[in-house]
Amino acid sequence: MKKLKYALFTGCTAKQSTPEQMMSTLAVAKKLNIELIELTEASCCGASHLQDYDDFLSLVLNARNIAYAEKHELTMVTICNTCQLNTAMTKHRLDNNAELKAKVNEKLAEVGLEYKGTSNVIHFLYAIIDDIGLDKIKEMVVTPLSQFNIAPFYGCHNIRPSELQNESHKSKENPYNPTSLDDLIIACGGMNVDYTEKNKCCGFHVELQAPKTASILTGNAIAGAMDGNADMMVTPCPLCHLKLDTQTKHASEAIGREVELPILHMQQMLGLALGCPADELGLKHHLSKVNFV
Amino acid sequence: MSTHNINTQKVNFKVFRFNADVDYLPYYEDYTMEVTSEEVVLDILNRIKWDLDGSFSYRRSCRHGICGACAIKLNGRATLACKENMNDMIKLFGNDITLEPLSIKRAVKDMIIDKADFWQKHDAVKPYLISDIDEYPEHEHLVSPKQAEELDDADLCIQCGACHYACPVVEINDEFFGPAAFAKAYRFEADVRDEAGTERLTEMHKEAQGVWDCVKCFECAEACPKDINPIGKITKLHLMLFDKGLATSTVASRHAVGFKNSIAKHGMLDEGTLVLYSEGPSIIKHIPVALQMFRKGKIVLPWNMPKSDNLDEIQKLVKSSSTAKF
Amino acid sequence: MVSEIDNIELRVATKEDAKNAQAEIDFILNNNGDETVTGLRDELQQCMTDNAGAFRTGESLEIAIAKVKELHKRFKNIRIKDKSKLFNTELQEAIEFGHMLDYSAFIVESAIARKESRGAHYREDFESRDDENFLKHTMAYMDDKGDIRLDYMAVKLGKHELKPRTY
Ligand code: SF4
Ligand code: SF4
Ligand code: SF4
Ligand code: FES
Repeated sequence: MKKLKYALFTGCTAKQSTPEQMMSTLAVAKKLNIELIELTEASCCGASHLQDYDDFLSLVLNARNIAYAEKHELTMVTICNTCQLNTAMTKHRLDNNAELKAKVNEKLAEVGLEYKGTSNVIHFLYAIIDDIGLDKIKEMVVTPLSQFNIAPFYGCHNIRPSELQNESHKSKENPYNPTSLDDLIIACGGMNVDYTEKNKCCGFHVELQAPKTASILTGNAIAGAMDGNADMMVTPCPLCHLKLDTQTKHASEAIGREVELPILHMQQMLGLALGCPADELGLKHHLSKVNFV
Repeated sequence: MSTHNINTQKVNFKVFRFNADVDYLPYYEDYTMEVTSEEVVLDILNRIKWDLDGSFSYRRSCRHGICGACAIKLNGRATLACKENMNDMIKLFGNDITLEPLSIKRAVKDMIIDKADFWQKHDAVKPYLISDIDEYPEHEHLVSPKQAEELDDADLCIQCGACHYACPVVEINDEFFGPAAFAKAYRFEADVRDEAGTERLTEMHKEAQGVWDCVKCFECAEACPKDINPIGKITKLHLMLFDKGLATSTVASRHAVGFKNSIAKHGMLDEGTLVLYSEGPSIIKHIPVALQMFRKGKIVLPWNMPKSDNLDEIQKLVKSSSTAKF
Repeated sequence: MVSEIDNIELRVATKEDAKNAQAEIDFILNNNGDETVTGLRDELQQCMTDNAGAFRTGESLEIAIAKVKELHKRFKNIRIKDKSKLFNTELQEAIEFGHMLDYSAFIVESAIARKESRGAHYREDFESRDDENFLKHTMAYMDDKGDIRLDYMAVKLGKHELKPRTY
């Protein structure tokens, strides 16, 4: 298999509150023979909040991040749904508005950079499905997760707005009936759990200003998976992960029911199936129990 | 020349039924039909009523995507029944189709819901031009095409409620205006003829009801049959609040601003400092979880805070590109 | 314009009218026949499209009036399933259909009497306009038995010049 090479935009959480996401990404990439060039110059994407305060600055910063991927002449992969949204949205807006692109480039020129629009921006989940393929991944599985019911939790920003997100990858997703993560679970040998909340919001983005809303949404999501008889949940988004993994106490209080499940990053699930050692996957960084390993 | 083939296929419909007058609980009725490629979802509703069960009830009027009456949910997807072709729906969902009202908890009869809360929110944002005009004006108020573009299609809303009842926050928080009302508020805020000043916009900043409670899930953008993109309008309202100096210092506004501060300092987000800056003294409530996270290696201490390479570039750009004030 | 509307005389609604409306609703809700409104409406729509569209003849209009009369009778034999007081759109459609039948009769009877062509009323058996006999409004009145009496009202001229349309 030809070695795949991407520019990796880690986002901030991978460097702070979800170190296990960074670890498992690297572990999985090694197994899948993917070379990741980390964009160490990148800034935060603004996490869908900066643009509420300063839209132009958000565009400039995201364009700068992409410009670094372009310098390497590589596709940029993201490992956070919200990073994906903000970066892909910036790309979409600049690629469709020459005037705006020129304005942004005027700023980037001040630091000797240029946004050209030559690099695609794609979430790691879709990158491996598009470029390696589920069949191939399935062949590489050494420890099938066959005894587990696994509930996929897609996270908003990978599936909505669908027009934007489907622009970046070949495997088109129906936001009302997404399948990529289900397919990956099946490829890893697990049983995918179907439940209403799998494509709903975890509430992360209002955790500070509207904690009740955020906790109810998190609670509903875990409860839905539990009612679907899930042994664990899996998500491609570190922000969803934070919510589902660390906020169970508040979530339980908000919905009046004890909820908790092991929550895996998509990369951790894949890593387990591909036979990565548990310590490389960073399972010790979880708050909720991951006692199934 | 394009050839146009009409085909038919068998579809199993599972249809929500409920009459608040007589039924204690809702139930689902199954119908199997041959559906032709020419039919829209509304044709199916009509056929159920006209051919199979006269008591089946739904709203419709224009059959032209303009009255907003016929919005329902099809396999959980908000759907303007007269707009969507059945073939497209079958492509999305296969041949098992569930038809439900926009909001089950507001169901009155079958597809018909009580939209009272939608209209209350709509009225609450003052959905009209606020302007002092002469009773007998001598000439019209000219609006240039460029100025009209500012509305960004918000004026195309048909009040169908698809976005409102797709919004998870509307379901949880009774005070939240909801995406349609925000799009409407934006429609007038963006209108050059409007002279509301701060009276409408300040309502948008208030806790619980206002824009800050939006979870940014994009359900509304996905649901809207008119491509109005309500969350895009919510973002613009945020920007207007800062622009007009109406975004007073709250957890929410500090949270947005905190990103800029953090990026200017580290390039990356400093998660801990962001929470501290946003919450102020209320930070206390986060301490139990923070301690757990710390023990699990999920919190980076300030002196270990990672920084982006070429941070000077980022700092320069923040300085030169940022115009927003707080 | 506005002043013309102001001058329209409106009849004041009476208790009797309310009673009639109530009776209409009671009839539809309680009648226990074996015709469906949808079935009858399909027949009416088909018949009016075929025989009383823009292009019509004395012959086709006679077919239409016979059908409308037949449907009027059969309407007495309808049954609707939905008896509820809540959002009863089946009742609404039945009321509307009763009125459609009345209006169909007005349309067809008026068209039979107007032996000329004018605008969207195109009599293939009387292809030209006949200002001498038909430059007038048709007024149609329905009696209790459903029979229609026709009368005519003069056209107020003056706004536009009277001349044949030759485009
Ligand atoms: S979304 Fe979060 S993790 Fe991703 S770059 Fe932004 S702040 Fe960092
Ligand atoms: S993006 Fe905001 S307004 Fe739109 S549906 Fe989600 S929470 Fe509601
Ligand atoms: S914004 Fe769109 S979905 Fe929402 S009410 Fe208006 S037309 Fe319907
Ligand atoms: S019937 Fe009017 S919008 Fe569908």
